[in-house]
Amino acid sequence: MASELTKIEEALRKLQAQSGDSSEVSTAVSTDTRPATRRGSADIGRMTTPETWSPAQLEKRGLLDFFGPERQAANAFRQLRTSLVHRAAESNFVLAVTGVRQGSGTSFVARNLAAAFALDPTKTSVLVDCELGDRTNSRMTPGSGGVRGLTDYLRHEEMRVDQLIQPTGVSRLRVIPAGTLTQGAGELYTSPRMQELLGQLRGRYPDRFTILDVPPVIDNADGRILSELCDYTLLVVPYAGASEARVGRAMDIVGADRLIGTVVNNDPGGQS
Amino acid sequence: MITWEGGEEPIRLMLKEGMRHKWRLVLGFVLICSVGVALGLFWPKSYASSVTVSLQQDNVIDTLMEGRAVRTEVAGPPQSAGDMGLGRSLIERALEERGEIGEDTSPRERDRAISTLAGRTELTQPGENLVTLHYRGSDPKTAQQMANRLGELFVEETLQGRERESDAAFQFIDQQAQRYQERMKGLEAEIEQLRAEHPVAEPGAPARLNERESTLSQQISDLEQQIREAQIREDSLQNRLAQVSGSGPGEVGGGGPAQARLAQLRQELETLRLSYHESYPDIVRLKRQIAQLEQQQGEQGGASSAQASAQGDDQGAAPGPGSNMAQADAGTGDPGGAGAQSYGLAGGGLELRQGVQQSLYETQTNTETLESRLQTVRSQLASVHEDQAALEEVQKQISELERSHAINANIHEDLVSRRENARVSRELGSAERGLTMRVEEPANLPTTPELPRPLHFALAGGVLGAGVPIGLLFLVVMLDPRVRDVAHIPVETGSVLLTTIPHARTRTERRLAPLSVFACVMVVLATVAGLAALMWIMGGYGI
Repeated sequence: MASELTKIEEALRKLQAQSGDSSEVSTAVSTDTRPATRRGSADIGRMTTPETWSPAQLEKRGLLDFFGPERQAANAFRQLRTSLVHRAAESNFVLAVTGVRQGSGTSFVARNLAAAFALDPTKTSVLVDCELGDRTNSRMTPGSGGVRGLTDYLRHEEMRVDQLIQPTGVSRLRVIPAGTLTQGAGELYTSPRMQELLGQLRGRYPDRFTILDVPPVIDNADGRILSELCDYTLLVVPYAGASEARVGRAMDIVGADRLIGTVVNNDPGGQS
Repeated sequence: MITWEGGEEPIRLMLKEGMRHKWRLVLGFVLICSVGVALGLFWPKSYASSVTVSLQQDNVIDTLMEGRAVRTEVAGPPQSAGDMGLGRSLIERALEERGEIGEDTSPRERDRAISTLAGRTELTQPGENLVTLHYRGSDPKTAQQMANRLGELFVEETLQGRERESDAAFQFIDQQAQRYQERMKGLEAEIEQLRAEHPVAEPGAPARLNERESTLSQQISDLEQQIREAQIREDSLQNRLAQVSGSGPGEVGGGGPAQARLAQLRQELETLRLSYHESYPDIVRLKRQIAQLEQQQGEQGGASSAQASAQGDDQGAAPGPGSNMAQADAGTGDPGGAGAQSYGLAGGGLELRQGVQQSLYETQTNTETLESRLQTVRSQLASVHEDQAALEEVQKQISELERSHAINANIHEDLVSRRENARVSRELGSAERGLTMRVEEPANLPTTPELPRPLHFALAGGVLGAGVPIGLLFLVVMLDPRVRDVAHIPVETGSVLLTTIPHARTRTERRLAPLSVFACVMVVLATVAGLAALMWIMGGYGI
């Protein structure tokens, strides 16, 4: 299944390369069982990508080259994506990716999971960077930091959502940067504007998957608040980085109804 | 704690962790190996050299001197090597000879040096009559020299100790013998003194006293016999006198004296009865006399009573003045005038009466003399009895002292003979020094150091270097509670999605990964090769 997907995706990529443009392929070739709505497909088609990132650029931004040599990791993300789609009741959802502690690799998982969703030509994904202190996601957007983003949007009523979403070098993957505010965003996350934003992101395109890169749920109120705002939460456990007890505590905080899955990240021995 | 139900098997997990920490493992291996080699190189080398000393337990002299001389054993036949040790004085001598300690060495340093040397030596008993002295030193030559010197000193000290012991035994016995001799002298002096204080206790005294006692007893019995005879004679004279007085004019007053005589006799009888039985000869005699007198009185009857009263004074004068005899005392009346009257009246019977009277006086005097002699002899006998009692007492003391003297003399004699044995034993000990104990096998020059040698350290370093990191890895895998596998996520199977995302290597990592593994292998191989080379070199040099 996974290898079949990869072949189709590779074919699509070649097609993109032939057209010399990074614009979307209008005639979607997808294995997704759910047919894209007419409006969604049209929107997807209108999406533009500034420049496709080369494998080196991808690596620099902490993104996997899904067609590169790290097939095990790539396939793990693909399978995770597929499993999530299967598990989710809705056509699209807002997913919080959080960790059991700092340094769990949450941003890496969120970023690549978003990229994995975007691999499907019929789907798009938007990565919302809620990790204010963490600057790794800022490499996803042009310029080096200081880009207006989520916190600016939440503070400034006049800002529009379309001003917020930034294109990336990966097809169908968009990014909402964290913004210029680096701390004390907890109050902003509880504001109705945040809920409104998430509603818009989910509601505007039925094929768009919104993925939030959220701080750890343990020892961080922001993580918990954001987790509660989302449809589902994916818990990232660093390999040999947290005890079972800690993982259990994090799972309790998230709650069984919201927890969609747990991922052991950065396993040195490869996919089991 | 990791449980393996549904999770990865431990070997695979260990391999995974091993790869993850490969550089740490390699570093641990190299470090431990290096420490092993370094320890081996800097570990003080120890060379052992040993001297064997033979102890001759018995030889021809023993057989010859059996029962007479006793050889002092070298602390007895050594039961075990542990029983024996090098004495402190021996070690001190050895150290002083080597100049390691001197007069100016502080006691603490001296103790330390002694205990160090004692720790380097060891005594074992390879055979029944063999003792081996081992010495460990950092230098082969020194080890040999020290072992030899210690062996010699050991023999010397032991023999000296033996001589000392033998000498001490002799001294002791000698002292004891002298003590007993002194005691005997004391007893002898005591006996002498006792004899001097009590002259009665001269030699032959008991026999003499016995003889004297029997002589005196004989004399007493003779005297008593004589007295009895004299009394009988006196009685008969009295009777004669009475008769003489009765037939002539001298006899007129016989009734009065007869009465007095009877009264006197009765009184005497009563007195004797207080002390003696009826069968006592004196009592029998008195009774007979009384009976005779009573009979005489009965015969004279009432006719002569007037005459008897008239002659009473004459009869009373008869005993004469100055007489202390009972009969004379019994007489009453006027002796002066009556005497003249009596002589005048008596006429021819007077002479007879005087003769009888004279004999009576003589007999009475004789009796008195005899009695006086009897008193003297009796007192002499009493004195002899006293002497005998005193002699018995002294004799008892003397015989006690003599008994004690005899016991002491016995012991003294025994000790003197033992002392001679001890003297021979002592001389035997000093004369045959070389025969009983000597260095059988002198120390050899050790060529290879003792274990552990650097080679062993290197080997141990290699084994530990491999084992310790792997063991630690195993412990980490077994005990570390951190999650390494989705199977250990505390959730019911199927309730949530469980995935593992493998490590995504960067381009650099991809390029370096094989190199890294290769480098690890190379480092390990190089270390092993280095170790092997080192061991080979060390083995070749016998290090």
